Formats: sequence, C-alpha cells, structure tokens
Amino acid sequence: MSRKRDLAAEILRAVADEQLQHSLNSLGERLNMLRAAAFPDRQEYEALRREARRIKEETIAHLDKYLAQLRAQVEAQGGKVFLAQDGTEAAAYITQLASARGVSAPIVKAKSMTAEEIELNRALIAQGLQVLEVDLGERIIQLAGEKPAHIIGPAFHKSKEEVRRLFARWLEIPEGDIPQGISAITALARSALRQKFLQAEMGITGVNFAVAETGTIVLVENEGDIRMTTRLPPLHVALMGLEKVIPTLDDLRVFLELLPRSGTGQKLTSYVSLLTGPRRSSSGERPEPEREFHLVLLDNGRSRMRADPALREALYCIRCGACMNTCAPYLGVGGHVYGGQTYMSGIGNAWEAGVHGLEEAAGFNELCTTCGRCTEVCPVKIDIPWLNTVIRQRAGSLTGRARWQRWLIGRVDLSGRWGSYTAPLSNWLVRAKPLRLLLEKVLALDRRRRLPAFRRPTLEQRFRRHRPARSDGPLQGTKVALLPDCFTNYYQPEIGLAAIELLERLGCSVELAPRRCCGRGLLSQGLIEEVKPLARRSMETLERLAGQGYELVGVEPSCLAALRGEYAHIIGSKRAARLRPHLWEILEYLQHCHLPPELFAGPEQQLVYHGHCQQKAIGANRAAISLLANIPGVKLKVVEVPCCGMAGSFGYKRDFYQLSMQLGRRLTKKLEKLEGQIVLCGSSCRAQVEELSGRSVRHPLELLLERLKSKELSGPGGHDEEPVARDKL
Amino acid sequence: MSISTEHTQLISRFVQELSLAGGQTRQVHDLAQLVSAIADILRERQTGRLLVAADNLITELDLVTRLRAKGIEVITSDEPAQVAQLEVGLTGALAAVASSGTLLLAGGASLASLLPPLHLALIRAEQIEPDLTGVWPLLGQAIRTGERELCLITGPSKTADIEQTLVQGVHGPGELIVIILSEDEPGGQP
Repeated sequence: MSRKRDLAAEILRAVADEQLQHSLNSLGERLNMLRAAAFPDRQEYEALRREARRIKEETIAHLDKYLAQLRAQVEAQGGKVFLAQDGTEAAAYITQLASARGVSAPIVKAKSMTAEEIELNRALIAQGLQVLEVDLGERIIQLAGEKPAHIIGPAFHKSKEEVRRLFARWLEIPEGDIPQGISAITALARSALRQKFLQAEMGITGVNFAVAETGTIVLVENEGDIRMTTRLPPLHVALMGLEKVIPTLDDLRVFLELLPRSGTGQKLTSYVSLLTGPRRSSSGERPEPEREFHLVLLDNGRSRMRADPALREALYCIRCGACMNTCAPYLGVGGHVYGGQTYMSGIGNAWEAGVHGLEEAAGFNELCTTCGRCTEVCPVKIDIPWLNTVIRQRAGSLTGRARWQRWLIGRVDLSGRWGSYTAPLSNWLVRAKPLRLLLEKVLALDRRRRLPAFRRPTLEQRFRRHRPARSDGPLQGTKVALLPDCFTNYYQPEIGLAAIELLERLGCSVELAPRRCCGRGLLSQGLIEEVKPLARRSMETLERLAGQGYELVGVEPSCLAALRGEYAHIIGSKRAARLRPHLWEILEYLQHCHLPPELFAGPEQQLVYHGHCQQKAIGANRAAISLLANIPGVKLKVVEVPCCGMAGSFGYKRDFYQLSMQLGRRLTKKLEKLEGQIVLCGSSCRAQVEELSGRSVRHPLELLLERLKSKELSGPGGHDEEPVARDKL
Repeated sequence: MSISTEHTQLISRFVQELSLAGGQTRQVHDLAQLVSAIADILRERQTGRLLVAADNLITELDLVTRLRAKGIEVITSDEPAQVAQLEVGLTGALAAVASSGTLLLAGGASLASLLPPLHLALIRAEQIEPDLTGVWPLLGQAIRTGERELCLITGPSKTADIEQTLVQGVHGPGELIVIILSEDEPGGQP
C-alpha cells in the first residue's frame, strides 16, 4: 500500500512549523551531545561496535538455526511461540488469544515499532478489543492519531499545550483542570494508567533482544510501563521481528553496552527486563491465575530482506535512533516527512523498502544526502548511505526524476569541463534568467541558488605553468600526488594550487594526479552502474600512483568519501582496502605526518571551524581539529551543527531549497556569535555559508599556507632571500 | 578484615554513577545504622508502613523483626492492588554494577521495586562489581537455574516524552535510594 506523496509540500510545511523546528533543534543538540559524552573511550567504542557487528552478521547468516533454538528454549520454559508471516497473521493470533481468554479490560500495550509496522492496534480494535498505549509518548501519539515521529521519542514534537488538550479529551475533564507543569501532567497520566495496569488481563510488548541459548527476551526502557505490562496481567504477548534474536547472553552484554548509550547517552536505561518463559504464579494466600507467555515471531518481509544482498544489512539495526539524531534532513523536517509508513530517517529507507515496498521508500529517499555521518554513530556500523544509494538506483523514476535528468546533474566532470572551457560566457549564460528557468524546469535546480562560477584556467592548466616551491621542510623525500577533483579543478583551482604550494613548502615533492572523476556526483544520483567505468579508471590511475610511492592527497572530502567508502561496494572491498592506506584528506595527512605545530606559529588568529559531513564520515575531522587547535597563535572555535544544509547538489534542488536554507541558518546563527575567519573544508559548505553569512569563507589549508609563508618571510636568519632563490629555480 | 581500597573505590563509583542516573545512596556500617536509616526515610515520607520483598540478605539480617521492633509496620504482600497503596518498597539485590550505578534484581523483588513511589534497595558493599562484565556470570547463573524474571535497574523511573523535559517517576518509582551496608566484619553483628 503506497500513497502518493507531495514531498516538496510536506517539506515546506515542516520547515514553517515553529513548534516542530524548535523540537527538532533541541532534540539534535541534546541527544548528540549526550551520545558523544557516553563514549569517552574511542577504542572501547570501536571494539564494541566491531563485536556487535560480528554478532549481527553471524546471527543473520544463520538465522534459522538461532530462531529454532530460541523457539525450543521458550517452549521448554513453558512459553508458546507463533511464527507470523505477516501482520495479518500476527494480529489474528493475538485476537484469537484475547478472545479465547475472554479478555474484556483494555489491553495494556507498551511501545513497539514492530507493532506500529503491522498497525497492530488498528487490527485489534477492528476486532472489538480495546488497546491502550501505556508509554507516555505513545499514549500522546495514540490520542493524537499519529505515528511516531522518532524511533525512541515518538512524541518529541508535541508541545505541552497539545498534550494538555489531548489528555483533557482522554480523561474527559476540562482542559483547565489539566495541570500546567510537565511533572504534574506526567503524574496525572501515571495515576490514570496505574488503574488500567491493575485491571488489565493482557499485556503486549515488543522485544529488544531475544537470547537463543536461554529463551530470554530482553526489554529496554525508562518509564517502567514495560515492567508493569509484563508483570501485572496474567497474559503477556511479546511481538518480535525475526532479526531481534541473538545467540548468547554474552552477546546481549555487548548490545546493552551500546544501545542505551547510542540512543540517549545513558549508560543503562532505568530498566532492562530479562524474562525467561512465563512468570511462575505466586503461591501466596490468594493464588494467582495460571500465567501465560506468548512470543510472536514476525517475518513480514524480513526473509526477503535477508535474501537481498543490500537490504540484508538493515536487519542488523538495533533501533537506537543515533542515526536520526545526527541526520540533518531528519533534524530539518522530522520523521513524519523524512519517513515512510512506519520507519523514518536514513535507515527508514531500507526498512520501508523491505516491509512496505520500494515505492514507499522512493517517496522520501531523495532526502538522504548520503553524507555517511549516520554510519559513524551506528552501533552496528550499517552503511546507510550505500543502502540508500542502492534504493535510489532501484527506485529509478519512482522518485519523480528520470535517469537522464539524474545523469545530467551527476556528471559534474562534463558540466565542469564544458563550463570552464567556455568561461566566462558559460557563467554569464547560467546566471541569465532564461537558462535558470530552464534548469529549474528540466533539472529542478532552484533558480534562487547562486551557482558556483566556472573558472578558467582550471587547476590542471594552472599546474602546467606552476613552478615548484623548493624547501628544506620536514617532509623532504615524500612524494605526494594531489587529486584534482572536479569541484576544485573547475570551480576553485586556487585551493588546489594552495594545497600544492603548502605541501611543497613542507618539503614534499608534489605531482598533480591525472584528473579522473571519482563519480561522486553520479553516486549521489543513485546511478551506480554509470559510476562503474569511472571508478575503474580512477582506481587504475590511483593504484599506479600508489605503486610508484605516491601518497594520494585530496582536498574535497566528498570525493575522498567516495574513494574510501562507496568504492568498496563498486570495485570490491579487498581492492579498495589495499588503496585506502594511501588516500588522505589534506589536513588528515598533515596531522598524520606529525609536523611540529611551531611550523605554523604566527600572529594571534581566531579560526571558526565547522566539520564537513563527509570529513566526519571518513574519520578525518578529529585530525583536522587537532592539527589546527595545536598551532601556536591559533585560537580555534569549533561549531557543532549536523550540516550546513548544502550537501553537494542537495541544497540546489528546488524541492529542498527551503530545508537547505533552514539547516544553513542553524549554522550561521552560531557563526554570528563568533568573530574570526571561518574555515571550511568542503566546497559546497563554503558556498552555503558565504551565501548565508556574507562573510569570507576559506579552506583551512589556505590559512596554513599563509602562516607558513609569513613565518618564512619574517623569520630570523637569512630566510629573507629564500623566496628569491626559489624563484630562480 | 576491613573493606579494601578497591571496594572503597567501587562504592564511590557506584554512588557517583547512580546519582547521575537520578538515584540516591546512603552508606551504613552496621545493623543499627541500617535500621535507623530506614526508619528515618519512612519518617521523612510520613509513613509507618513498609513493603518488604523476600530477599536473602534481609532474611539473614533478620531485618523484618528489627524493623517491627522499631515500630514499623512491615508488609510482605504479593497482591498488586495492595502493594500499589504503599509509599515505600524495600528490596535486596543480587548484585550491583559500579560503572553504571545499576542493581540486578530477581523477580521476587519486582512489585516492591515497581509500584510504590519510593524504592529502597539494600546491598552489601561486597556485592558491587566493577562493570556489567563483572555481574554477567551471576546473571547467567540465575537464568540457568530458573530465575524467570530479572531486572537491571539504573535509577528511578523517568521520561522525557513531553517537550524533552526529564521527569522522574512516570510509571515506576520516582525515587530510588540504595542503602549500602559496608561492615568492618563481613556478616558481623554490632
């Protein structure tokens, strides 16, 4: 069942919704900070992630074996297990059970995304049962008739006033009698729901993990409603997706170290329940009725996902929400817009494609910028951008744009070559109104956006006339090949030249690598097949250079992210891994070389830095920050927001223009408070921030070069003559 | 035998972590201090009634008799409707985790640690393990020997579902106080 969506209109509404924007902004700020603080030890974190990933790979590879073991264990403990092929079967089983036991009191139901996926409540209510969501957030969502907007904070977008209105309707009391304070509103819900818990005859929960070796189901929560739901009614039904099984209790410990910390920054949530079979009835003065435990295993497309080489990886998800907390488009519009029927944000693409069909995922897939920061925070290292690229490829024209339109936007090498060759005519042309209208009509490039100017001569042409700067710098004997990515070559050649001069002055012998488009532009468009020939050419060139002893250094993080990330899928992970140790982002490379920071010592200077998304995704951001922060005289201010909002071609698209500006303003609002030179590593970040702030924005390497040069010029002892001597060579 | 330095460090880590998770701790060094600590807490809540869950340590210390001797009305009910009327529930714990401020509770303690607004938990200092890895063998053993209901408890019940504002005590107890008994003589009586 898919619905026709007008994504552009949904985005505009979300961007204009002040309450939503306020909630999203504070969600991002709060949870990212808490998550980062929860993993102070990077090595421990990486070791846990590797182990968690290994366990998931092993489990999904041998899923039938572990499910059989789980079933046998649960049954041995006196529980019942039912395998439901889809939501209809699951709902029918639960309905029959409720009617066989004569359940008449409202069923208490704890939060479960899997139940949302099959719209279990609707099915049960249609059969005449009453279902009461008992998690506070889910209670609010159920009263509002909405779907969760976040995987762990379903009602984070609701204001206190909305909650008061909803509770007044629920409790049938005048709104004026609902207290004003959030604590008091919560206390009111507590006492109303407490009565329902005590009367309930049946409780339904989801499952976070199910341990095959013992038949233990594990539930992670903060409120205590899950404990109530499993402890008070005599009948407990747990609904779990097949992928939630894990082999052993030792495996469980790894996930408990990761799940709460990734989700909310808590070392552990308030309650983690470990339930093994039905609870024994108490033998007190008043004997309890026989207690029952039913485990409903839900397939609903998961077996298909498992057989799919790409979607399979989504089954590793433990649903912590870290990916959405860090995702810029999610934090711009929320889960109701950046999401499908049930699942939201980056990982939601694969889940929607898996359980509700490709068309559902295609309805919001374009919102993924494929930046990859989500993978960096994912506790099981799911390559979400790759999943979304594959879905974009499969969705094809379902997303509303034809292959040729994607191709035209994606071939930045061709448009760059043509534009630079004909500059300045080309620049005049693309700024002229008629062509902008045409570009908007045909390629959906927003006409309000300033397009970057083509430059002639290009970096390649300039390098031919370039005379190497000689130096006795510390990197003598190092051979570097600078990668002339399309953005630097055609739009910002001076940054490429500055990189070359900087490396030369540090002692490197620098060559410009032959220009080979990595295919980043096409990848962003989901044109994986079309990237393959480009990738093969790139690889051959880069491998040859690496074989000749060159370190391969680039200045554009998004292209490096393709070479170090997506290429593993395109040309094979082993071949990509062999090249990887030679591929560097320039600041990362300089940091790796352990240069004495005094080299760049100089006058007091405040730099304001914001990490490029893909710089973060490839793990080069920390290196850049420590390089800059340690330079004597430099005062570095790091601004943390998820993204500048431009994200390559994302911000140029008509449908995303307002969203891109909204995200950009979150960044510039922070920048406004800081004086100093803004330095950004990515070309699209620089374009966005220049346009929004009106301030000059430079690549950090330009500042490094300036500091190095001014030091040489003013330094003591005969250095004055050196530049002259260099010119003679 | 006095409490080792290592244990002193574990206690202080546990105290610190539990406080970050919104819970409180009291340290007592003998049985008399323990009984008065409980009596003081009840007096502060203006209640003379205490729900006590079945627990080895509580039995071993004969705590119920001692609390009754102090004039406290001890209730050992397993009836949810009755338990829900009470202000304070006392439990023991199988173990505790210093690195996260966590208690490991068995099923017998489930109502007392869930329904009353205040959950009091009693542990011996020696029960505190450094991290989850430390309590894992015990947890595994409990499950394998038939403990059907275990709970790791880290702080009071909480929610941030309305406007992302933290509120304690949404369904479970809004307060958790862990009383740590660290005697000079293990098992020693005052």
